[in-house]
Amino acid sequence: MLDQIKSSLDKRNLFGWQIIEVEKNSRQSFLALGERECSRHVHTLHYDVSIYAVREEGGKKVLGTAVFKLGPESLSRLEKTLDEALYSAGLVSNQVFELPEAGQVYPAVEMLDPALNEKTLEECEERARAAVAKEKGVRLSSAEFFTDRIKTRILNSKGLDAAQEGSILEWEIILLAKNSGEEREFISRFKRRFLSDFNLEKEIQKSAALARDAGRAKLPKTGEFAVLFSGEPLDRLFEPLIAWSSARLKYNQIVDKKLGSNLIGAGKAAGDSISLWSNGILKGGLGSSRFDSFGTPMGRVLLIQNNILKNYLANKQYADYLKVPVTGDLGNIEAGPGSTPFGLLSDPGLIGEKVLYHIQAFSAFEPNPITGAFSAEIRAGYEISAGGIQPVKGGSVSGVLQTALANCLLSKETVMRERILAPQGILFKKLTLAGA
Amino acid sequence: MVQSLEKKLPYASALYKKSSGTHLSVNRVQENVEQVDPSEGIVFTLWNGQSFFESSFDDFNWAAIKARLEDLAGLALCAVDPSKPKTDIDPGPPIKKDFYSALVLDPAKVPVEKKLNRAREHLRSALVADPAVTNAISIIGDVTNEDLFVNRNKVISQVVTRTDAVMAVYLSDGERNSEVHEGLSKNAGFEVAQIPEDKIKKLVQDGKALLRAERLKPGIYDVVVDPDWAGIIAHECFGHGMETDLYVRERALSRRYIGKIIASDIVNMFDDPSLIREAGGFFFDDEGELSSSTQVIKDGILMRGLTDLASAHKLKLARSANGRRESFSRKAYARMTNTFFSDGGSSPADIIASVDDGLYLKHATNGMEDPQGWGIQVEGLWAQEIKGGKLTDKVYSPVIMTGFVPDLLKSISMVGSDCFISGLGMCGKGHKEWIKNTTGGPHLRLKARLA
Repeated sequence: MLDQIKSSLDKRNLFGWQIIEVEKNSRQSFLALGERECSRHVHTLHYDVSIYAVREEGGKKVLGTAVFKLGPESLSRLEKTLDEALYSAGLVSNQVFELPEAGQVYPAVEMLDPALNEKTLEECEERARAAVAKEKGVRLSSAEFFTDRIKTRILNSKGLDAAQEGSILEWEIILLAKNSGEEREFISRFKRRFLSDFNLEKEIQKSAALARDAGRAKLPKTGEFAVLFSGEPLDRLFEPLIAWSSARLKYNQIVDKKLGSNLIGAGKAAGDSISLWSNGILKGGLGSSRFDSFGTPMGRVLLIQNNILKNYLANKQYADYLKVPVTGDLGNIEAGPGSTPFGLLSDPGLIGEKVLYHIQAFSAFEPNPITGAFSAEIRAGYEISAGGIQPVKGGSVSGVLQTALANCLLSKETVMRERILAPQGILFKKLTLAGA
Repeated sequence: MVQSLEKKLPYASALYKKSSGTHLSVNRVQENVEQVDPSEGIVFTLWNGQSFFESSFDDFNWAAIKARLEDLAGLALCAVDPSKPKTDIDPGPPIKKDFYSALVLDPAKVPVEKKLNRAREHLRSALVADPAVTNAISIIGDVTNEDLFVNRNKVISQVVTRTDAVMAVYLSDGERNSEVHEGLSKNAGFEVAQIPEDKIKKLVQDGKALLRAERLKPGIYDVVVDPDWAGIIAHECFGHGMETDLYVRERALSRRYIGKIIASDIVNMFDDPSLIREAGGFFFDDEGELSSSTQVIKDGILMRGLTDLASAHKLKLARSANGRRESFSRKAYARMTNTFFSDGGSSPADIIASVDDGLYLKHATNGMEDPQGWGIQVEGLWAQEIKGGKLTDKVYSPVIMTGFVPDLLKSISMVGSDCFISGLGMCGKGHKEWIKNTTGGPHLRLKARLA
């Protein structure tokens, strides 16, 4: 099939083309109250095709582009699809860029777990049942396990041809726990490339504790407090900083941050400073791969150093447009650590406060990538004071990322999550809580 | 194939799903024409009397399909636990029918150039509306979903076409940035792909007001919400919590409140996939159930849940057409469709005029459910001060609403007569399984904790 598509594209005398072949084999298993409800097998194969046609417009070269997808059953419509795509490409006038050349040198990135086999899901189910059985007052509401094996090959009109194979394991486990009063739930999600990183028993133990505590949780107080983030809230915390580093958003005039500018509080930072890398070669990272969406080799690229924007995150297209170095697409987000031990960050006395909130899960935490503003409902957290530790749930935490990061402390320990390597905890000295 | 499989197993069905369409986006510096993630595939569902087994694939080689399904049937038979009872699945009443959604201008027959020009017109309106506009993204999209469902009693097909028109505007005053969006999504043709110029101008005005917006002081407020906010409240309060696959998993508190008062007696809420013109509408769900309206809340009383095949079978509940899949390669779950509060008797102007000191909320962006704890989170960009029954120029942004679902619903004191479903947005089950559905309602007056 690939040869057929390539041959058809070659005959069209295009400025350029790119094909990405994706073959996916998945196994999926679903438990309800510990019993198997459904087992699924999935096999798919498709081709993402991009065509590039250059023409003259007003004495200037412009690029027409069109993108389409072919599956095994749509291959018979290839020529018609190509005709339509060429027509569409003739209607748009974008700036010209060059596809990457052949002969790129790709890093060796560990993405595929050879330990995965047909029994993996059943073994995960058994491990989950056994781990939950050890937890007092906790039962399994729901568990879903997925294993994906994905082969990707990228080819372009300049002779670039690269391939990679990766695996993804995913679980979603929902525990129910009762201390007193109503039963409460806690949702645990986990996505990794390697079974050995899938510490199901430890995660269930942690989730069980949070589920039990949810039963005696209260609303937080209302006001401005020091707030420590760890766990899930870290996953999307840095997204506005990535957006402000994005060559695509810069070119599209959606953000306007200049190299050398301070992204955090314009020089007013009082705590630890922020350094960020796009790291596409971390072992086991979900954002790790040998190459990006244009076939550019992935690597580790400094974006922000001590709050200063050092490089734009630019794939080949936007690097050409802005005339900046090609960094490739975003890999994993790597945030540099601080110097404070994680254990100290949860001590309100460290920063002269009487009360500190430690948030471990939000209902949905999505900082605005343009403004940096965020607000989210607390799903699991703790109020820590001299009086003890009180679980909290409900109410919200609000802030503006650049202001919050201007006055924060980062733990010296780091944690690898799905696609971030970041300090295990980040203590914001002042965020707004809305609760009781 | 279904007949052959049912010689070995109590139930089998097949679903063919295809989606295709175009997605055009233009902004000040770039234009893109793409196919809308086209996909085409089949999922076979087998029931061995105790659990489901499914195979999804996109290559239609007959010999390969037969071999794959024979393997799956073998697995299903081996998995039967002889110590446990077996049950039969009800295939539903016999029907053989083809369904088509109504179109005035079939997007497949509208030239791409015409669609691009429409998107460019919208873009121009936004770019010239105010010097603070740094850029805007104008999107025109269409997608046609074709489904064929087969079981021993049913051979049904449907073709449903949806058209979207969306405008996102980005503004800056040199210090601060803002972003707002507007648009519509309907199961209809290109005839609906139009955002009036006055709406785009208003959107830009709102974006400009957001540049000077302050953060809201946390507290409990007297609130009027617009139809988009009302819709997300409906969706997050008692949409997810009424999906009966959560009942099977014993993680929905609402199950114990069926037949009980959970909202103010002027509150009525529906989930209705048979509203075919709305973007969450269809003729039958991904498990072959014909669509109809489900009243979830009637005069403040919680009525019934939204079912998929597995949970309805397990709990012996009446089916509703809520068994939906993200694609042929994903499992069916109980999912919402078009979910909304229905009209009450008050005009929006009267509702605002009734508030002495409060806030008017619009530009809702997202929300999150908590079916077991009955917490709620709704986020948005706009809280406008109401003083003495009139809107002032003071705007706060962003804004988050949190609270305990029954408290929130019982506080609803006025329901507008202007129910509206915009159709923008998608819904996940937790954080995955993204599907198209809609939310809406009329203006509501209520009390809520905001920050």
